[in-house]
Amino acid sequence: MEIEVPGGSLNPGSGESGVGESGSEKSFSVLQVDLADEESERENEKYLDEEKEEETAEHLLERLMQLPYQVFILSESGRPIFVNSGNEEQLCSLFAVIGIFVERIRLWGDNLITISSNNKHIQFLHKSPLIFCIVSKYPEKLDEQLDVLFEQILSILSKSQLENVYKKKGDNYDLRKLLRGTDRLIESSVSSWRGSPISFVDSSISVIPMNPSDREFLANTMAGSLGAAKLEGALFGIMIAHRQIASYVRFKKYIMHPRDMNIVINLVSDKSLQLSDASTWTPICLPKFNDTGFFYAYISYPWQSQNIPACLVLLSVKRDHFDGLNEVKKSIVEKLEGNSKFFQNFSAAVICPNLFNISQIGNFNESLWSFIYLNHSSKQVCISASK
Amino acid sequence: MVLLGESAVGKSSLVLRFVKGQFHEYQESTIGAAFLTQTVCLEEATVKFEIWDTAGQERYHSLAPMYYRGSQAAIVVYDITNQESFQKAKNWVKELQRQASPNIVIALAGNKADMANKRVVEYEEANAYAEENALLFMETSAKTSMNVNDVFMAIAKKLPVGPTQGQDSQGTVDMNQPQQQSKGSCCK
Repeated sequence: MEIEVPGGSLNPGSGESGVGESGSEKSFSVLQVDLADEESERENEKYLDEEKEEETAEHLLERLMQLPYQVFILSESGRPIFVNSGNEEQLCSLFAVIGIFVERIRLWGDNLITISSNNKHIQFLHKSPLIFCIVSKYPEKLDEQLDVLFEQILSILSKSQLENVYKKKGDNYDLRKLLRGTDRLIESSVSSWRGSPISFVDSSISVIPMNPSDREFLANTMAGSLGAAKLEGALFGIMIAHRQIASYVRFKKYIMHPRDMNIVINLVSDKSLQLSDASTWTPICLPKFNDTGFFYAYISYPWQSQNIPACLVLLSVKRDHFDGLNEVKKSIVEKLEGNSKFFQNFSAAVICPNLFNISQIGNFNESLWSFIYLNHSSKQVCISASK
Repeated sequence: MVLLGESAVGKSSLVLRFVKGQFHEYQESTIGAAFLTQTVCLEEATVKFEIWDTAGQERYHSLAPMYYRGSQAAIVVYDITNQESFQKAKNWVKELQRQASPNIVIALAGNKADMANKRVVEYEEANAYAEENALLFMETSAKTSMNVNDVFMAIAKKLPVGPTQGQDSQGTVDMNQPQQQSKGSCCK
């Protein structure tokens, strides 16, 4: 199956308005104005900067010290791209230090991986053209968190676009221009990873508790409607609620890696998509599946107006499948609502999810307080309530 | 119909105001494109709007043809307090004139009209540009709802009445084509 890249390569120049007809004249006149009071303005800036730095540098570092973790993304030339709390501009010098550390050790022909002290653990990941760094109070799985972060960026741009943009626009390119509006996705990908018990087990997917028979009906309905539509390239269907999956159907030959699944879950959990009577169509790269191409995701919250927070996602490799998948959604929704007993159970399970119950694995052991079950082949996890 | 324009000019806010009558002071940036519908009764006909609210960010630019190719109408939005967004709007108009369906109805909307004290794009300038290019033009405010319904209605009135659905069926906006459904699946 071939995966197409949305729109092919970046459209050079499309993002730079004003460089057209009137550009040269304009920039010339702007320059002239600037020259007159350039010096005094510079002094002003310097003064302001100094004042700001004095005021914030200490505060800022103090604040950062309190945080359980801090994540940085920068370009190889040290240009800030993302920090999970606060403002990249304020932390320029910290970004520079990270860049220099990584670069210095690379010049020695080695790789900087981690720096540890008693209560601070710093992990680095250099994936050209980007550098990732996490500073954390706890040392657990920092390497995997950085991998997740890298894949989150790839899911927005794909590896080919990421590499091309630096090739075309130079090492000094400000990647934030291309990532505009995605800070909250990057942020939620890290925070949900850290906040979830699934981070204890390698890249897994958490499953929302439901009656097995209801889940089976849900899966059969989704598989039936998706299969019947005969849309070649529509490969996956997922029902998600509360960042957990209720059901997942796929074409036989294709498997979605749990880390890719978590990227999808993170995307659809964004508040901006939770609109009633609307659906979203967006490209998304799933790096474990193919880091150079894009899927197109059909995303809808069919019952948002009834406050049922379930999200249906249908993924295709074809960009013109929106209409087809919209019909698939209608068919799935119709069939699910048509089975009133199912729909009642499903709504209850999704609106107010229970944890799995210990009695579900038998009452034989008095001393069992809680369990986590990981299915090794599907990487799905069930977590019980405590006794 | 499709809404195009620089990011943060208020495309989603206009659509939300029109479709749901809502306005959020802090509207999250759109991911990809959102598809919404709204049915409106005019005196002589019922119009069903099928609206693509696209994301304005640079990385989505190359996807735009997917949304405007099947559209009968486009609203190109700029922010009256942002000169660059007006330039971007002109680029969108050019692109539509070159690449969209030749009969497409284009409206230019200068949004955030409630922020007149920060205005940098003059009404006359935009109006003159719209006249030159035969565009509908209005200044709008999703916040106060000024001219929001009007701009959608003005477009509806310019659309051909009756069975235009046929020509549109290869496009991306016709939702009335049932899929051929057949039994059997390899999906699970």
